[in-house]
Amino acid sequence: MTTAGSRIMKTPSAPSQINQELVHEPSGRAVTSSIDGSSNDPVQDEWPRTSRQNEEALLELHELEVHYGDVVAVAGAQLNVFEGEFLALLGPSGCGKTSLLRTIAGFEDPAAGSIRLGGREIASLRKSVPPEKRRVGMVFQHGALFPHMTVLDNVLYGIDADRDRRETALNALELVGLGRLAKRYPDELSGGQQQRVALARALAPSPSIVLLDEPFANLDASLRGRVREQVREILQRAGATAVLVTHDQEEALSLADRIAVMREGQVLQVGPPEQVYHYPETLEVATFIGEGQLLDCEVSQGMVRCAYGVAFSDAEDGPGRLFVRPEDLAIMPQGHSEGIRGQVYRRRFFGHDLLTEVRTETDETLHVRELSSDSSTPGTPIKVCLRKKAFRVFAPEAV
Amino acid sequence: MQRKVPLYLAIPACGTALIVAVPLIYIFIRSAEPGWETYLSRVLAQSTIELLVNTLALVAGAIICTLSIALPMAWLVTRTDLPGRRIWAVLGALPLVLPSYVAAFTLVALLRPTGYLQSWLSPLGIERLPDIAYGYSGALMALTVFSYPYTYLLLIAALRNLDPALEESSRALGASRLRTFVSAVIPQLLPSMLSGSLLVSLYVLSDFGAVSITRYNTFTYSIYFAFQGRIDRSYAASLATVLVAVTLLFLLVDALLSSRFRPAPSRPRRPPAPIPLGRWKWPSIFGLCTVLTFALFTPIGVIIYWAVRALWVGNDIGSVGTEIFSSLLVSILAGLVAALLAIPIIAWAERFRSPFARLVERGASAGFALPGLVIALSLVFFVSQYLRPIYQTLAVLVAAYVIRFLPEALAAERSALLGISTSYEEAGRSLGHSPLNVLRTLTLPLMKPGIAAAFGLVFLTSMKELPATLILRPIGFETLATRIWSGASEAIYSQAAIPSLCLVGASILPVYLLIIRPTLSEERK
Repeated sequence: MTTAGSRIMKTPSAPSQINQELVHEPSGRAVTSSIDGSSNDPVQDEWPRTSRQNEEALLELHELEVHYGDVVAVAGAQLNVFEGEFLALLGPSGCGKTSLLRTIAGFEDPAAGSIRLGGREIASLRKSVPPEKRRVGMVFQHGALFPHMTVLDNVLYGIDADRDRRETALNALELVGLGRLAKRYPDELSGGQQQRVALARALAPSPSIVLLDEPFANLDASLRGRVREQVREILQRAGATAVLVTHDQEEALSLADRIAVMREGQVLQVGPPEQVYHYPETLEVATFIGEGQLLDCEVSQGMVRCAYGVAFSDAEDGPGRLFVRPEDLAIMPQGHSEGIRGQVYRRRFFGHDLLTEVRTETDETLHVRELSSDSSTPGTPIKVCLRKKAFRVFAPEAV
Repeated sequence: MQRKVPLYLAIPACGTALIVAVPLIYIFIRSAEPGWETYLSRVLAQSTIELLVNTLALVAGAIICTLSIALPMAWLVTRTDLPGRRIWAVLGALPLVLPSYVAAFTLVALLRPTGYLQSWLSPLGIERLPDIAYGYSGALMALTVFSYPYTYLLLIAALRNLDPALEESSRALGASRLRTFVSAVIPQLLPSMLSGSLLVSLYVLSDFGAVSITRYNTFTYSIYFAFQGRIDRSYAASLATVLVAVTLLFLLVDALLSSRFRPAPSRPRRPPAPIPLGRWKWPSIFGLCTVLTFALFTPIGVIIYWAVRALWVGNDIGSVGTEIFSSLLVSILAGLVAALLAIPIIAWAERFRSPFARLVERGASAGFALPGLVIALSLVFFVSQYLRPIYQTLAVLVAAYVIRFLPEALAAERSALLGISTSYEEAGRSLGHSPLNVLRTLTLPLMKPGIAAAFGLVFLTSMKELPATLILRPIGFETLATRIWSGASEAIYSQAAIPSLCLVGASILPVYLLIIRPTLSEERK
């Protein structure tokens, strides 16, 4: 069990801040599933979780496959989870993320590959440690609090019989801030409280790792944000290692230390949220997380040139496709030196920001995200240019 | 989730399935004992064909009659502005408290050529009524009254689950109310009509009480008397195999037809607006009253009349206490044993993805398709051959009830278990508890209402069971059901009335709590 001290704290940085640093050291290109550990790279220090290659992972999934009859749910997934980190498994529904989680918990068996937890093999084709012997805590989508037991009895359920059982349970409830509800029954709690009790119950036996299966999906939108933050804080205070399954990008991006993007049973990319968002390794990851568009460009000697401007890229020389997100572009007055001419075509107003659809003179349609105060009226002739200074460039044939 | 076979579930489950299956297989062996030629000549005899025609005619009539009563009634109490809909809905299902033999003898008492109806009509110079109380028409009336509530309740549930948007779309597309009903509503009710009709068919095929009192010659009637004749019991066994084959055929047809239905993908979010009956209000109420008069008020009135008369005249009713005790004893035992035996079967079949466990579950459900009479016969044959010491003991009688009604316990516990998310058990495992411990501390406590319902249903149906009781009871052992039957079949109604009253009285609460209320309150979920 990790202690809270070994946990590296990180305050989420605003993307723009990171981009500023990238101007000086544009090395975000990731080739393997986590970017390599050239540790004197300033960018790496912004992403503390990535430089742990030498450390032994707490949880190792090796070439994991899970089948349901003929359906392949997980197809050769590869993933390491380090002690004390909060990893989000992000993917669309049906991508196999829940199957992966259930296999770690021991509710499913792998058809191939293996799982090691704390250096011990817990699941493979030959071997399967039963769930009750894995020391894996689980928080379910609906909480799964036993309805016929009080909150306290729920938490007591997982604690081995010894003298301090009651104290351990009450401590766990205090940790989630619900000690006063110990005598209540689950149906007397709000959805958020239920999930916190479920978390207390999972943490109480001191598991090696806590698995959370879409724990916020059933909460009201108004409650969700707050409960998420609470859960994150509780896990942090407990110093627990946690894997969260979610299909909600915002949730994954805002909560996790690292994100593993899953699709069709495979882990496509693992990395800190900022890295996965700004430097997707594949087009699949790029288009799954957030919104983006591809622009023709030419790369030479670390510089990328396109009609919209010039930026850094570490892609190979030659023609390529520049991946831009709506917020990577800026709308400028016609007289601006860089950029391509166009016209504001349509605006979609979201309150805090605004998505402007621009038709360029080369007859391309682009989405540009702006602050809502910067709005321009449809029909205005403008110029579109690059706001960011470093970009991910995909090979032309990848498109 | 678990790889190992859970022996603590598999062993009792397989044991139960064996107890169910072995005697039933034995009846086939026994029927073939005099040789295949004898067997075939019996099965293909003119008299057997006649029995088959009689039986099938009764089934067909019952299906038509129950549907034509159940469909309009269910529609009236669910979809219209009929005043007092809830009360009508409950009253419509209450004939469930009447065993078929009680329905039969009360109708016979009322309608036989010199019954009450005739005596009321005699001032008009009517000396004899046409003979409708006996034979086909009598059996049909009794069985319709007895079995329509099953279809009726299924239709109520189906009507409540209909998405009102379907009807509204149909109306918005320009269809009339009638066309909407025929083309948008009826097709969605077909699955319930089919399963209701299957239930009715199984009840009619297995009924002994009503056909014996109305003296209509069906398979059960003939099998019973062939058996009681005791000259050659293998003849009864041969007839029983034909009855089993017919029953299986019905199940097969049901399976084939129901596989063609497609469920509606959407679920309703709001109750539909009630359809105003307008000038049809009073005719509807009149129709409901007519059905209930025949199905509920008359039988209960007749019972009460005879009970009061018996008390008035001072008939000996002292012994009814013994029968109440006997009925309660065997029914409670059967309920407990069935509810208990069902647990490992259900837990194994529903929680472990094992095709073999499913097979065991199916095998243990065989009693659903088998007439009580056939089960009783097979037990007589098997026990008298191999388990002589327990022959003619209560153990065999309770075993027959359990075999016959285990499917009800299985169904109640299955739906209880399916209502419990597997997350609870998985959470329990993750929290360090073994599967057996999880079963004990989580699954069983959460299943409690289902286990109680299983007990209640088996208890209720065992109280009413007649043919197996007649065949398997120890000498001198009388239950309420056997007393009613012997009184009724000899037309000594004062003897049948007080036990009937006790039986109906004891059934009302369980029927309401276990069958009627769950269906009627489903809409609020």
